[in-house]
Amino acid sequence: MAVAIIMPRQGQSVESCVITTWEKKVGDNVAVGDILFTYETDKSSFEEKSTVAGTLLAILAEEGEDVPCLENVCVIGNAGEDISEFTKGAAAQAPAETPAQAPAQAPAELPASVTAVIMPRQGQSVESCVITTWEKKVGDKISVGDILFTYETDKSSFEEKAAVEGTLLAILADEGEDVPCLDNVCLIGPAGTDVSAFLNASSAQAEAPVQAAAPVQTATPVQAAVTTATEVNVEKISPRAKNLALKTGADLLKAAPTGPYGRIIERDVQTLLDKGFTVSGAAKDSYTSAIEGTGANGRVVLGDLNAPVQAEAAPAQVSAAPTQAYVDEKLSNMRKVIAKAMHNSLSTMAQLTLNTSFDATKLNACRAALKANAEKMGLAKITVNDMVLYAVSRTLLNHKAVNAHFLDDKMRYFTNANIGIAVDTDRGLLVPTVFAADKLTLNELSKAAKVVISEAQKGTISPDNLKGASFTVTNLGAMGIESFTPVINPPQTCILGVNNITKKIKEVDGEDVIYPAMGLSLTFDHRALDGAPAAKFLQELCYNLENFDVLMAL
Amino acid sequence: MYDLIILGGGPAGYNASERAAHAGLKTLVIEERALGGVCLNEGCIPTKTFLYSAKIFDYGKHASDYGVTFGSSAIDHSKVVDRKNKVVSMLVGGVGSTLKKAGVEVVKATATIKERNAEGFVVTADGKDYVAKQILVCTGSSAAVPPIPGLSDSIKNGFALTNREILDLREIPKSIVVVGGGVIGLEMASYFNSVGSKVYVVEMLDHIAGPTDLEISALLQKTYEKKGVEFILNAKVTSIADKKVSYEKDGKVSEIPCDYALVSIGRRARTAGLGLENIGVKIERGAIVTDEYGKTNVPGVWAAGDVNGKSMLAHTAYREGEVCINNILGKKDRINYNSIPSVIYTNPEVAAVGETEQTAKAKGLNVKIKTVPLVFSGRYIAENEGGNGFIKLIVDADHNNIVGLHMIGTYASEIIYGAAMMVETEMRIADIQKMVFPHPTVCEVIREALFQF
Repeated sequence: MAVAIIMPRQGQSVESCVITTWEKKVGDNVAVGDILFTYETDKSSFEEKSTVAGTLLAILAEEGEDVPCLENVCVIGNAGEDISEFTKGAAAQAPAETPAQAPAQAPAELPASVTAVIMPRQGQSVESCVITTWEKKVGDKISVGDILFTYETDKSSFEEKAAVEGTLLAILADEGEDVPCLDNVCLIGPAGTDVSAFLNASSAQAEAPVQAAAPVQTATPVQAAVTTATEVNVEKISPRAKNLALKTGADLLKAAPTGPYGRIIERDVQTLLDKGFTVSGAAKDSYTSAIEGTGANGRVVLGDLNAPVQAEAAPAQVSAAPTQAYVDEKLSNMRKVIAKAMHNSLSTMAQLTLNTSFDATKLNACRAALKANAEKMGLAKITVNDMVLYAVSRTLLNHKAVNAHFLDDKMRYFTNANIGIAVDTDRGLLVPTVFAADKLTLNELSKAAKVVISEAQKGTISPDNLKGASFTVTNLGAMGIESFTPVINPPQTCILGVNNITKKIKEVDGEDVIYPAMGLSLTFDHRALDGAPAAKFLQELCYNLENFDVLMAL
Repeated sequence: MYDLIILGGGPAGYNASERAAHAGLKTLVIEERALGGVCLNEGCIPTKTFLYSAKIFDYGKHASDYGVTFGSSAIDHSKVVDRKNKVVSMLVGGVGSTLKKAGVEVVKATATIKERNAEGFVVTADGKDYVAKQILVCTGSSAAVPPIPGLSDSIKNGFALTNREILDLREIPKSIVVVGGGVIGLEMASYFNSVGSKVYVVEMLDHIAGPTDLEISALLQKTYEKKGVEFILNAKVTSIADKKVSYEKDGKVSEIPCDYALVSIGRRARTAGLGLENIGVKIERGAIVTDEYGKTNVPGVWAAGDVNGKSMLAHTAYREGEVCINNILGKKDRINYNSIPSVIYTNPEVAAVGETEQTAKAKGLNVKIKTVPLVFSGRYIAENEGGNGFIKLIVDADHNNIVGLHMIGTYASEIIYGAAMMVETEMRIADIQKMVFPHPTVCEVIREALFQF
């Protein structure tokens, strides 16, 4: 069965995108993950990868054409398949007929005065976000710029501000709910507008090609959610798929629709059955949101429907009995990610740490000079850490195995020093990246680091800036740590730990001299490089730091 | 180095080993006695050969009710035992060749888990060490022998028997006292009653057949009383010695002189001497603690069958073993104990699955109950002169699905699996009403009962 590929919606305010280039032509074989076409908004450009395999049967929009978001762009299916239903649609894409032909654009049920707020897509790789808190409730007056809700990916949290004014008419996703990007989250419009038709029909019908994967639930009575969720699925399902689902008890709430306009088709039901996602006859009627089943092969049974209720009751008991010996707290998404990454790092790499120190006399002197002249010269507030980052950026490129990724069967050497900075935030460790730090002056590097550190701490950093580092620096010196074994962020090959300054004695011209010694701890992956090259990097880094004044002249 | 060592070659172990080997795991089974475990050697199967002989004998006794007259009939108990031995050895041999074909290695020895080292778990058997990445414990259970005065001496001198020894008795006892009116006790009581022994059943509870529906256990008791079995309920056995079983009932001690006493008061998981303590496996009330995936508290150590003390039925053991193997293979699987059927092979047979009227009420379930006599089935009437069996259907009143089915009557053992499927898949009455049952059969009564709601 042929599938239409639509123009994705890139963010709240984007109405349409321009197709830049077609990477495939009609008749080409397409594999999952193949780039079909590139397209751009007025700010960015994107690649659209295929989520299905088959033959490119038709291209419905040419290069340079401005395509409204969620419109069909091309059709993929089996070679020779009849695709007239799609091409007819395309012919009818002329503006005058658009409303009739593109049900994906504006559901008839939603009054024109009402705006549906969608879950924005935060970065290319983000599929869904979790709603953290609702700042408004149904019935509240909304002004432009009001914070509606906060939401988070596994790395960052964000605030969604209202772009329109009106009254919050309905909340379609509860706190804690994982909402696929571009799905509807709430409705804003004139007070008293009746949106029940829209809710009942299919709240996400128009907006999200993959909405059925996570059913929409209204915030208030459970009964309302029942109708919404059930009808969403019943509405957007092919007759063959519906028959198969009825016969087999397939769990449609777990379906990932692959049909046009996010419709559930027969193969989606077959996929559910292959995975064992079914619902028992008895449980079917009260089953409203996808949950893991405990019956044979994961069938959802009556007992599972009560499970969430029990889960909600548990925290109440905790608060009622404050004398308990411990409190169980669910791990945040972020904690889970950190746990997995750290364990993965230590269990898969051959890590060891080299410890050394350098004479920080000149570094301190330089910093004092920079500080004294900061105002006069218009410099940022340059910290010791910034200076270490600077020295690292100037040393890294001479040691390619240190500025690299170890990818099991190959090494990836980076031509720039993309330095990750470990930042302690309220929610846990984040490592934002300063890209091409070797191209920045000390002042620029200091400013760039301040920006990403502050974004990381506020939780507003783009997930794309939390990736891509070729080397990481972590600084525990401020906490008085003298040496430690930092854990590498895979697939990087090294991480530099920066320690505090202690007083040491060295012999200069036959005399004992006390000097400030700053500790450095370099953990490296012995799979990727040996001890000597790691030590040589550290040695050169120490030399550069000890002669920081000269380094700045380079 | 094995992927998996299975301790015990009973239903849990041999079935799991076959599944594991088919999935490509290098599997070793260590069994100290014969393959097949209690089920094949001294449980399910041998008792069924006994009971079938008794059934034929009973048919002969009542043949005239059906217009058939035989010259004379007699039962030769020794030949029944010979046939039992033949059936058992055929089945045990069958298990052996199945495992061989599947590529499972079998060692006949007593196994002890020695330790866990860097390579895996080390199991010692016959002085040799075997190492495996994972272990599945399927060592089953043995008859519980409580500290009743005189009992251990009586077992030694052959007056008291367990399920093991009674199957090799070559004579028909004139009288036998069955201590414990559960499944094992009732089946043996049924056999010896049929072949002419005077049978007494002494039971501590106020009803027989353990957790069976109370109406069914009452009918079963009444049926056997008519056949001449004497039931002494609410009685505590105080001594088993000198060809006498003494019991206390209502504060009064009485004694029954008898040729033999069958001790069938329960079964105990076999966990001692396995070296479980060497790797820290958690044991509670003598049984290995497992979760719904068959996992013990020690990663890599699994347990299935009677040894986990949960259900102690061979068919539960099969499934538990398979659940363990699936999880070992990374395929998430868990067992649902709610839909496991149980059968008592008396004549009439008793079979049940799911909630009883009593457990449903105890759980506070909102249920509807319908009892339908088996005489609704033409075939039942044709084959059972004066039969009074029935089925009892328990339905969740909120969702209209079957949560329990209980029956007493012919073919119950073969019918119950269908009901188990209805319970497991939570079929609603409306769903089953649209199924076609074969006619004429006894199972049609289930369908009939559905239209009573």
